[in-house]
Amino acid sequence: MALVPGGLQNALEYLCEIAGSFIEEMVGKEHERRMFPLIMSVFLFVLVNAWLGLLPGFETIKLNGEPLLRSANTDINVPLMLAVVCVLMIEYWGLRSRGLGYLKSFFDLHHFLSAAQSIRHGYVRDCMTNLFYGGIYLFVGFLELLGHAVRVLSFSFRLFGNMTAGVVLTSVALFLVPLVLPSLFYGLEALFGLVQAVVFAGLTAVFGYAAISSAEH
Amino acid sequence: MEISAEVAKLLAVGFTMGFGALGPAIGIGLIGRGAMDALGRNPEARGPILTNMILAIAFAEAVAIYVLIVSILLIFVV
Repeated sequence: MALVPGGLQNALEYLCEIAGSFIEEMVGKEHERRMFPLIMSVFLFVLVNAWLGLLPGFETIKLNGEPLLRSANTDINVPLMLAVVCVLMIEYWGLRSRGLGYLKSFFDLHHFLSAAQSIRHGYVRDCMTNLFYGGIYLFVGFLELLGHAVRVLSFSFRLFGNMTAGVVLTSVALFLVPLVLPSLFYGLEALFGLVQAVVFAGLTAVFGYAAISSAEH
Repeated sequence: MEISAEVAKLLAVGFTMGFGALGPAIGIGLIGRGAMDALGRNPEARGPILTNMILAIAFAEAVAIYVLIVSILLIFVV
């Protein structure tokens, strides 16, 4: 590793710089270093798997009726694994940077505390109002928890659905007009692979930033 | 008139995908319109506008992918 890079090291540093500035404009300068490893790894993993599936021989060479080589994104297990890892890391970042106060966005109990205080001083109507608001915030916190859990499904099905639909689309195009049309769908597949990789990594960054920074509801 | 299970399944798949893709398509169009308006007002903010547009379109498109998964499930598993 040279201190003044040249050639291959220069090109790789340029790519890392592009990814770093992309993450930085979504997350902010002080958190970018922390999130870079996971986001870059996920991006490269999804991109390489998506583009590998375009090489000749994938999905076409069959052994006992099943394809011998398949893009890893077309099996539901791989996107599910990526989604679970990313959601766990988002929760870890939230807990790590805001401590147990991160749980306050789900279980906001200060209305119940003020209800107990007002009943102690004798204000019954204030107590009822605070109990009512406490119930509402409990429901809102439950919806927030549900939204976080649904992210696993949303991440995994977005990637899996796009990749599988792309495979089906290319096979149908090859079956219908085998001469020139499939090259258009091939290019579309390459573009969709890149877009899905960017979207997966970018959404992880955005949700991570929301978990780190949201204290004002 | 008796509708067999096979016919009912095919009808269900057709209606699912047909009606299910309406919402996301209109949503993506609205997001695109908002992005074009913002770009016309402020052409210098092209980078952030495009990035946020791509992210929002991915959210809207994911719903269409859910509908696709449901219809594939209906055809091949039920």
